[in-house]
Amino acid sequence: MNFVPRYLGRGSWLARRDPRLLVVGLVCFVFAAIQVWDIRLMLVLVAIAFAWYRSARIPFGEVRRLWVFAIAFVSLLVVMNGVIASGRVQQVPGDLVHLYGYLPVVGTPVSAESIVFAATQFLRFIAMIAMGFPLAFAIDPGAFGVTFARLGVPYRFAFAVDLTWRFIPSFAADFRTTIDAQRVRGLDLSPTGRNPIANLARQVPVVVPTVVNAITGAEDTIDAMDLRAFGTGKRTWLHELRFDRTDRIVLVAFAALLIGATIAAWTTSSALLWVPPFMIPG
Amino acid sequence: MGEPVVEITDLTFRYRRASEPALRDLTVSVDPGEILLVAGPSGCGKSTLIRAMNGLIPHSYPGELTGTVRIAGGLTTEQRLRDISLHVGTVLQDPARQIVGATVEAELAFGPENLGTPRSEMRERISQVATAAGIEDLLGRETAALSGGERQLLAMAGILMLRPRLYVVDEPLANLDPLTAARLLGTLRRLADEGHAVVIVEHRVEEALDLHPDRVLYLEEGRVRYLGDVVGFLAIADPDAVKLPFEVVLDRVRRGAHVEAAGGAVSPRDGSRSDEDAGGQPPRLEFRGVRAGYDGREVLHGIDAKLGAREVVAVLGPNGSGKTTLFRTAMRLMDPSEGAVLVDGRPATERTVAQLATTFGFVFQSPSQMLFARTVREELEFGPRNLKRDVASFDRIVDDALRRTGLDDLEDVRERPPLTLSFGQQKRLALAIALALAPPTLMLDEPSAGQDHRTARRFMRELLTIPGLESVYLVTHDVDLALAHASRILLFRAGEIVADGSPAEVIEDEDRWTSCNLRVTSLMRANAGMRGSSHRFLDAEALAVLIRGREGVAAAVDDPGVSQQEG
Repeated sequence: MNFVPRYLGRGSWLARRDPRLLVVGLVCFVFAAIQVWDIRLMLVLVAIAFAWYRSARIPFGEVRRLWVFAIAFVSLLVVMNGVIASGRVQQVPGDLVHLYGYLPVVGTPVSAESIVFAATQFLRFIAMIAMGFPLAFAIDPGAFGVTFARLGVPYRFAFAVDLTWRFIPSFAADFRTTIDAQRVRGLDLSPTGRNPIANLARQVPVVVPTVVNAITGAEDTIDAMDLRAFGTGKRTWLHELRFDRTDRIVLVAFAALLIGATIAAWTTSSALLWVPPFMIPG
Repeated sequence: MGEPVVEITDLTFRYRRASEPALRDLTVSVDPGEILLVAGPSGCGKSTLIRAMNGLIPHSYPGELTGTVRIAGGLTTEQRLRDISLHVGTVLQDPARQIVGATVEAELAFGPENLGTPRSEMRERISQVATAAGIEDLLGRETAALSGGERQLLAMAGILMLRPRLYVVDEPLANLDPLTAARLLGTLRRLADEGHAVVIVEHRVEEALDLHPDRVLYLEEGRVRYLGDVVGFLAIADPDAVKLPFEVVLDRVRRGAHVEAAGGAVSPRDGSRSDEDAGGQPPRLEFRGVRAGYDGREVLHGIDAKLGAREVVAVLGPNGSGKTTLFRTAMRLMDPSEGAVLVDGRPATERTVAQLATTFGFVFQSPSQMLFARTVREELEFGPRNLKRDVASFDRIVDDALRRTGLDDLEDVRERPPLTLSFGQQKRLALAIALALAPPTLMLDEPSAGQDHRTARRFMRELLTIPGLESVYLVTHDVDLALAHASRILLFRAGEIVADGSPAEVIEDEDRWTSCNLRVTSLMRANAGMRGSSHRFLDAEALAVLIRGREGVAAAVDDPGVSQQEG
């Protein structure tokens, strides 16, 4: 699977925005979303997130497998959470639970509330992912460092973000080469049984060479950075960030969303679970 | 000449955990406008010298240092790396590790950004440097998408941005096809002509001599074996250790020097063509209209070729022309988008990658990409274990693979951790790993990469005499190695085969040869001159011995009296 960030949204409306807006917008959105438990409001947030995502014009074919993985991962997370929490849900007005029955084997109670709770959680995560995708695919790869530096992050850390973005493709390429090198030795990496430890152990021939190569390669990279005076004094950035009028308007909108969600959480029932009437038995 | 840019006096350096110094009593200086070529076998101290010149020693590599290193008059021990970097620019051997910018512009700007250069000045410099380095067409691209050759040029350009007085370049030709290498050398020559000092470390001495270096520093075991002009260097250099022009090797043989002659085109089999295999057997590997590529970009454009079960085939061509992709489709590491690959007459798709590994032993360019086990024994047992071979046979398989690759000479090699072996030994271990599955054919990706001349020659010579091996297919940039060892050459250009034949046939058309970014070497010319008397390409040492032998015979015929007296 190709997890490598690429500039797929190049030229889109979102890619033309100041990259700081994408970071700050995501932060505002996440803090707004975690305060909302009313599924009707969550659907509104989902709509906002996908409108944002759509404005990045990321070709779906390029990220289809990534979406499949994200949805599968979130689904697993939500289901596991439901099972581990034994069907107990918070944010229920008056502790009223409408029980449908119990899951076989594990005996977890299933109620209208636990289903709505899981659905709201699922929607929240998916909305956050939709908001986050443009960070990987709609920011000029050369602008990551300056983006975080201009947000007040120390420049060494900011450049570490830049460097991570730069080396993910190299790491992925090394990983693929190592997989191929072991496949020609007869290694089959597909899971063969239910034992997760055994399945994990079968990844060792791929993981060890990749990590060793990454570590030895990092020494060269550190040398190369030292030799070009990295971290020795005041730094400038080639990439110029411009926060224009549109950026300011969108930023105000995100700030309003966060403030609105916070106020609503204190003054309305938006922070409580809402169960559609048709799901309540009898 | 003004004040030396770098001045090293009586330098001895021992790394903190090493028992022996990597450099001993080294004294050398480089003046503005001078090119110093540094040569020597692996482990001779070249990398340590570079680190001493650019300040990484002592700032990043602690150890015991005596003597002095002055850059632009100041001691490196008393300057910060930031100050040294204003004078010394270094291009490391592997550009993929050196490039830290995600885009070409970001990479070019990295150094000036660290030095606090104003944005407008950086933009101006990027434009100038891109033109000077011939990489204008790369601007706007992401560095992850560049080819190896493009990365090498970009790494060089990144250093040009700093406008240093001294350029230190570590084996810049290692991953480049000969024409791209010539382009890079041209840039270095121009810098020297403009008054910059250049220090170039290179195994490929014959190509590096095109730079017309002013002096050569030849190191052996950390000591200066020679420091002086090129003529003097060629008179003393060991042809086994560094690759010298053929005329020099011949001259040395004429003067009675002993060289390790491989005996010519050492092919395990006698180069029978695929379509002429005895008994009407199908070819070992056949490509029928194969098209393949990556991420929607087609790399192979309809390849048709048959590779025989008993021949040595070398695939040559420019960086990114599809040579390695060809082998990857054969191993089913990627499937063709069109066409078919047949192995021993049957579609490759009928077999898994693991099953194909019993026919083709695939040896990757870098052995570290596969080594993971705790011991050499476990490493060698891994393949047979995956293929569910009889456990009782493992000892025999391990012994056999170690013996066939000459690794059994190493003390207690079976229980050694693979990563403690030297690079050359790891390379042989990778070969042993492939042989452990008893394939009749080997596929090698850049077998000489990362090895010095002596080790690379020895590796090929030993490989081609491995018992039981029927055929070898290899991809390489080393033209002389390919011509001297292969019975057949496939010449690639832009994903198509533009020539297929014996070495003599393929190099006949010099325009076609150079259009594939390949260089006409002195050995090629010398072999061409021998055509008629020798049908096979010989490596430099074997050809020199042959010529010397014939000259001796001719002299004896001209003057039989002398011959009898000598006898």
